[in-house]
This record gives sequence, structure tokens and C-alpha cells, in this order.
Amino acid sequence: MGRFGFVGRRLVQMVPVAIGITIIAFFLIHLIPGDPVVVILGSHYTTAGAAHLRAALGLDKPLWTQYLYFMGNLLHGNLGDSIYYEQPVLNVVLDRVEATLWLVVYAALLAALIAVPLAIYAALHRDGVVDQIIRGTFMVTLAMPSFWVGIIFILVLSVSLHLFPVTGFGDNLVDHLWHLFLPALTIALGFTAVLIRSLRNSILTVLRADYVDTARAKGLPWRLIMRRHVLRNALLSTVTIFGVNIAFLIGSTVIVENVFAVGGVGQLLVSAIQQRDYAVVQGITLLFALFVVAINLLVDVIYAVLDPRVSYD
Amino acid sequence: MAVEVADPGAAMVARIAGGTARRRRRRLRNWPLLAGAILLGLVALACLAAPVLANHDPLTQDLLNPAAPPFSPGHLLGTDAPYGRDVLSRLLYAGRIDLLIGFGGTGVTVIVGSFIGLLAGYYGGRIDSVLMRIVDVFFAFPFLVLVLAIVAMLGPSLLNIFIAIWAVSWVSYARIIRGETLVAKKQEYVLAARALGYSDLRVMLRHILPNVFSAALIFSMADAVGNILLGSALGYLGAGVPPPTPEWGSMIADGETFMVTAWWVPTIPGLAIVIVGVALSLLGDGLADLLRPNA
Amino acid sequence: MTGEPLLSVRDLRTFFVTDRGVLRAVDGVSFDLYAGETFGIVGESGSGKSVTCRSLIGLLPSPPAHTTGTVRFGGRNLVGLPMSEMQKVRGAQISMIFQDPMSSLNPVMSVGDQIAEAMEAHTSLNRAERRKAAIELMRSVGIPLAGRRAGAYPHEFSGGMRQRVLIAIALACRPKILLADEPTTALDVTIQDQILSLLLSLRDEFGMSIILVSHDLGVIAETCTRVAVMYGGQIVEMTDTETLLTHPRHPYTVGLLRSLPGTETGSRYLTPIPGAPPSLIDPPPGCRFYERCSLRTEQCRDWPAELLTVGQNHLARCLRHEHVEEIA
Repeated sequence: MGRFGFVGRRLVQMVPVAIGITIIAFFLIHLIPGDPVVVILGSHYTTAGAAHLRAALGLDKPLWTQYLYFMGNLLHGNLGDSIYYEQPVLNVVLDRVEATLWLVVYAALLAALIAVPLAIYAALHRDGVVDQIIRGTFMVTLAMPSFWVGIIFILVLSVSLHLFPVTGFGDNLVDHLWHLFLPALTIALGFTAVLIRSLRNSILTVLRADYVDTARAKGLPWRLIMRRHVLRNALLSTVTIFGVNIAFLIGSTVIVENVFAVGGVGQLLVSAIQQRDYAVVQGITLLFALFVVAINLLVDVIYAVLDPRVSYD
Repeated sequence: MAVEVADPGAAMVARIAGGTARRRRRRLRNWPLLAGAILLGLVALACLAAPVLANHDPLTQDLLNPAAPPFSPGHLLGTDAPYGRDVLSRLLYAGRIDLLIGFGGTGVTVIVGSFIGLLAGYYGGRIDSVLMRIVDVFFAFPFLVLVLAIVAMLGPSLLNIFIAIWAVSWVSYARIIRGETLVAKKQEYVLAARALGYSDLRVMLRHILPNVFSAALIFSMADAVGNILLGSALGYLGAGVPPPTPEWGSMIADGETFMVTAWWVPTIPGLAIVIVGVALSLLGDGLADLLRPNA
Repeated sequence: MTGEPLLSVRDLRTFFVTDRGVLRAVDGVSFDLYAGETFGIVGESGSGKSVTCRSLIGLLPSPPAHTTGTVRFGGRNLVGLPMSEMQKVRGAQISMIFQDPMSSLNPVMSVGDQIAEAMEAHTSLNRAERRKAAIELMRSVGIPLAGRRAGAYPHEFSGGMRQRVLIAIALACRPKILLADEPTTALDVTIQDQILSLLLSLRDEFGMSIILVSHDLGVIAETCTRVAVMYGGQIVEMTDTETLLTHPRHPYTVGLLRSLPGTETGSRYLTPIPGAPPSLIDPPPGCRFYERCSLRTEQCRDWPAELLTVGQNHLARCLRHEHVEEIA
């Protein structure tokens, strides 16, 4: 069957989780106390509009029928309509998805860039002064709220030193990189701590492995041993770390987007909450979860490609 | 015959052992546990004693004295802008809310999540598959996003924040305890207990649970930090405890606009969060050393 | 033994700095190794035999391990050799194979690449040539379908096959000495014999010497011409195999022989040696076997426990060596 069968099977395994996600998203609307139609329409309430919404949501039907309506709409790409923007939710989200994706990828890359060299150094000089400083520093950064860090970054680097723009997304590639640097760094700070801890442990475990002794007994120079034997095995486990933490990364991104007014989906989520635009809130929650599942699938595939021990059957 | 031959290795021992004695004396065993506990204790005590320690009402505005810097007379940490409320008092009262979110959120989820994990791990099979699938579904949602959505739907209030956290966070414990239980149930003491005919519930609660609970306890420290960060993020985003109740996150949001002119207003509550977070992390590390010492 | 020894070890000491004190794992070991011979080191776990092997090529991490003494090879002392020089010796002049073949190979590299790698540091062969040589080596160690299996990964091989791969790696650059640390301990009994015969035939084919470390006196007896018995970090008896088996001169050796099923001096029931090995952190000043010895006397307690010459090419660290025959 080979690799395509592998991917196919993972997709099939994902289906129950995807369905579970839709169920939870579905129930979100039903958490609203009181008459959901009244609350959703809010100040836009009209009798005709209310009747229309009630029919669309199937609110007079039994619960499971409503769910089927919901799923039916979903499969047609219909996530409902935004009351505030008077457009389909999907459109409103897609308008802003570019900035968010940029930010997530940028943050992940920055985190990896910072974490890998620090983790290698910390592992090789275990319990030395630098190792303890690194670990101590990141214990503190883990406790720092990302919005607070973001604000401080803005104060110091944008307002006082004028090194970076305060808000926004930018217009072209380089502009994006410049505008998003501080927000990405803010997100990365939290993620780096997790990465360093896991990578450092990975490296320490691999360093103790018997095959490293075999490599040393071959008379190979240490750099080569690190590259081919230690890192190749240690980094393998780090791939899965990205998958596991993608949800955390998205959560951070939502917060940071609001601090830096990046104009992405996270900012949309918060403004939708303030505007009581419930369809948008529900839609974004659903989409984020599906995105996480998709990323995890991707990570599984990458891992399978990299590790020869994974069988495709 | 009994010739005193000097031990040739002794000189070498003296040479290489010289450095370590010094190092050993300096390191107090498990200082993180002590430091974390003391720090956390002090903060919790201070917040609990807010009515005694705060010399101002946290909600009282003093429009004649806004943005007073720290060490101003009568205001140890200054006042905020533009309302002139005493920062120290607000800090202490806000701490109650945030600590409550941290411990209240964690307290319930530890128990519920651990029990579910215990069931899944112990019984295995269908029950395990179903429970873990449910766990997988919850893990797909970024916790912040789901909590935000739930609070948005239910309406912002402290109780709703608790409900949202309880509904979402139990899954971490379920996964951890399930893993531990899978290992534990193969151990001899469990096999012995079952051979003696003890009921499943008894084996789970009185035999397996005490041994696997340490993992949950250690994780609960990190979880508490997470909940405090979650709660303050909600406050910052304006989706948390409604004003005028002071809360560290909303204090930071309020002070953000005045970052340049009154830096202490948003900065100090952030420091409070960091201090509590570090204390909990230290406590977690200390507990890990205590309960699960390994190389 | 004739001629100059290939390897000459004098007063080798390897101590570890630990939380509980200094661990004297190898405490004054001396022996010679001659060309073409198979030299065995036998002892229980903790006797220092593995550490001795690793100390020869400086494989122990340098804190916490500290090594002193002389390991004379190729006209210089390997102890204290700078790492760049030591790396030239390892693999090319002296190779080592380890105990557990299941974990001694990099799981994400093909076996062919790992064998070829052994030649990378020491020969000037290019990639294709190394690959070709690797396949040849796989054939000489008895791996079937070598050409096709060179691209396979370690998890696709059985324990015995993996050990053959490790032997191929060790022999890739035709070293003069092979250090074999418990090469068959982790393998099935049936495979053990195959591997041991393989080692012996390769020894003859490649003209090298082997130091074989084992806790199993039976393995040593089958393969080695000379043996050193280690206990408590020291050599307590050293002679040729024949003499050791028939005329041991140290009570511990006798105990080892007795615990061996089916040898001439072994009884029908296995007889373990009572007691436990001494702590190596604060070893007793005199004879380290004192506590467990059935021949001990008051004199033994104060005796400085040196190695005595008890016969031709026969050393034993026992005051009462003449009486050992009584309990053999």
C-alpha cells in the first residue's frame, strides 16, 4: 500500500475527531442563555429576520436535526452569516487569514531558530552556568503573559527606539517580515521555552545512547557525530513537538494579534465577541480546531518520511 | 610481612575529589520546592489579607491625583491613569481573582480529569477508545479560543470563566493519568490486589491512584500557571471578569494606553503574574524532584 | 610469548567522581597484549573489565572519569592523548564492539552507510568505493544478500545480524586490535557460537589481536589463549587459559570455575560465591576478596595485596596461593 495508504488511513482516523469538533462547535450556540435568536440578532432584530434565522438554524426542530442542518451547511462551506459585517462568516475569515498564517509560521520559525542552538549548547554543557541561566530565563518567560511582553516590546522597541512599527501587517514581503517581527517574537518567546526543554532532554537522551559510543569508537570527529548521529535522532522527536503545540501557538497568536493590531483572524475573534457576532465566534473556533487537526496530520506524514522505523502498513 | 605500602591510588583520589566537596556543600537539596512554596505563600497571604494591607479602596477614584508614580505619599505603587485609583490596593484585590482562577480552575479539573483517565486506563478497550477520542477532540481546540468562545456565549462572569475552564482543561489530566494507569495496572501490586478479589473501584482508588497521582500533582502546577495566564488574557481582551472588579489582565489593558506616561500601571500587574508563575513553576520542579526523582 | 607486546598496559587507573565519593573502577591494572593472540578479561559485573576496555581508547566522558597510567601502543602512551590523535587511533588501529547490538546502531542510518562511515575518517576512498568496500565487509562477516541489504535499516535485522554489522564496522579499517566487550552476552546461545567462531576466523584472516571481555568463563575458555581475572577493579590472576582452568591460584578463580556448569572442576550443582563485591568507593586497603574468601587468615587482612609470580607467566594476587589447590 505504501505511503498513500498511510496518508489515507490517517485521514480516516481523523474523521471521528473532525465530527467531534463539529459537535462541540455546534453546541456553542446553544450555550447562549435565553432565546438564541434574540441574542444573536441583538440590535439588528427584526421579526422577519428572526423568523428567517430560526428557520435557517432549524431551532424549532429536535436537536439532532439541527445538527444535521449545521453539518449540511458546513459541508457546503456555509458557516453562517456575520451580523456585523453582513457577509458570510467564511468570507470574513478568509479576508484575514493571510496575516494570521504568516504570523504563526513566522513565530514557529523564529522559535526554532532560537531554541535549537540554545538547546544544543545547554545539553552539551549540562548543569554548567550557561545551561542554568538558559533554563532559569525560560522558566521566567513561560510565566510572562504574552500580551504583557508585547506591550513592553512596543514601548521599548517601537515607541522609544523606533525600530519597528507598532501595528499592522505591511504591504509586501519585506514589509510583512518587518511588521510581524515583534508579534512573532512575542509568540516565539513562550514557545521557545517549551522547545528548548524538550530538545535539550532529547539530546541528553541520545547522547547516552549506545550508538553514539559506536560512532565515537569509529574515531569520527565530534562535529560529525553530533550532526549525523545525535542531532538527526534528537530533532526527530522535535517534529512531533510542533504538532502537539500548534494549538498553543494559535492561542498565543490570538492574543498577540490584538496587542499589535495585526488584522488577522485572532483580532477578528475578539472584536466579534465584543460585537456579539456569535456566528463569527463559532465559525472561527471551528476553523481553528480543524486547522490544528490538519497540521497534526501533516506532522505525522513528515515524521513518517523522516523516521525509517515507521512502517507504512 | 605487614609492610605499609602507600596506596598509589590515594594521591589520585585526593587530586580529583578536591573540587566536588566544595560544590556539594553549596547546593541545598531541593531548594526550588522551598523557594516556590515560600514565594507563593507570601503572595497568597498578601492577597488574602488585602482588606488589611490595602490602605485604599480599590475602586475609589482620585481624579485629582492620577498617574502618580510609585513611592508617592500614600500610594506605594502609585495610582493609575486616568482615574487615580491606588495601584497597590487594586493589585492585591485583583490577585484574589487571578489566584482564584488559577486554583479553582485547576482544583476541579485535577479531580475530574484524573478520574476519567483512571477509568480509561484501567478498563481499556471500548471505554478507553471512546474516552480518548473525546479527549482528542478537545485537544484540537486551542484552549484559549474555546474558553473565549464559551465565555462569550455564556456571558462574562467569574463563574462562567470557571465553567469554561472546567469544561476544557480536564483533558490534560485525563491523558496523563490514563498513561500512568496503563503502566501501573501491569505492576505486581495491582495484580495482587485483583487476585485478592478487590472490587475494581477499590483497586483504582486505593491502589493505583496514590501511585499515579504524583504525575497529576506535578502537572497541576503548570496547569495553574496556564489558568492564571488564561484568566488574565481574558481580562486583557475584555472578555473576562466584568469591570469594575480589578483583575491583573484588565489592569494591564487599562494601563496600556498610558504605557509611555505611566509605565508602572500596566507593568506592575504583569510582574505580579510573572512572580506567581515563577513560584508555581519552582514548586512544580521541587515536587517533581521530591516525588519522582530520576537521573 | 615472544617478541615485543603490541599493547602494554601499566598501572591503569580509572576513577569516577560521583556524589558519594570517588569510585575506583579500575585500580592499578597491568598486562601485555601480543600480536595475533586472543586475550580474555573475565569478571563479574562491577569488576572493572568494561571500564578497562573503554579506558584504553579514552571512551569515558572526562569529567566524571579520570584515567592515569600507561597504555603503550605504537610507541606512545594513549592515556592523555589529545582527542584529535586519539580519533586517529580509534577505528583505524584499535576498534571496539559493544555489548548490546540492539541499541548500538543508529536507527536512522542504513547499515551500509554506517559501515562506510567507519572508513570515512581513516581512508581516502571516495563515496562509491567506501560503499563497495562496505558490501564486501558485509559478505565477510556472513550477512547474506549483502548487496541488497546494505541500504536496509538496523531495525530490519535480527540481533545476531546486527552484531555482525558491528563487527564489520569495527574491522573496516583493518585495525591491529579489536576490543570486544561482552559481544555475545545479549545474544541467543545458538547465535553466540556463530559470532565467536566468526571473530576467531576474522582474527586469523585479518591478522589482528583481540581482547575479549566477558563475565562468562565458558566463552573465554573457548576463544582465548591467555586470561586475566578481574575482581574489585584489579587483576587477581593472569595466565594462559589451560593453566587457569586446571591449576588456578586464586580463590576467586576457583569460585568462578565452580559456578560454571559442566567444567571439569565444576560440581553437578552450581555453587555461587557467597557475599557481594566490595564497594569501589572506599575499597578495603588490603585484599579485596577478603570478605568472601574461604581461605582467608588474619595475615591476609594486613597484607598489601600485590600480584605475585606463582609460576611461569602466571600471576596471582593471593597470599595463600599455594593452598588454593586444596579447595579447587
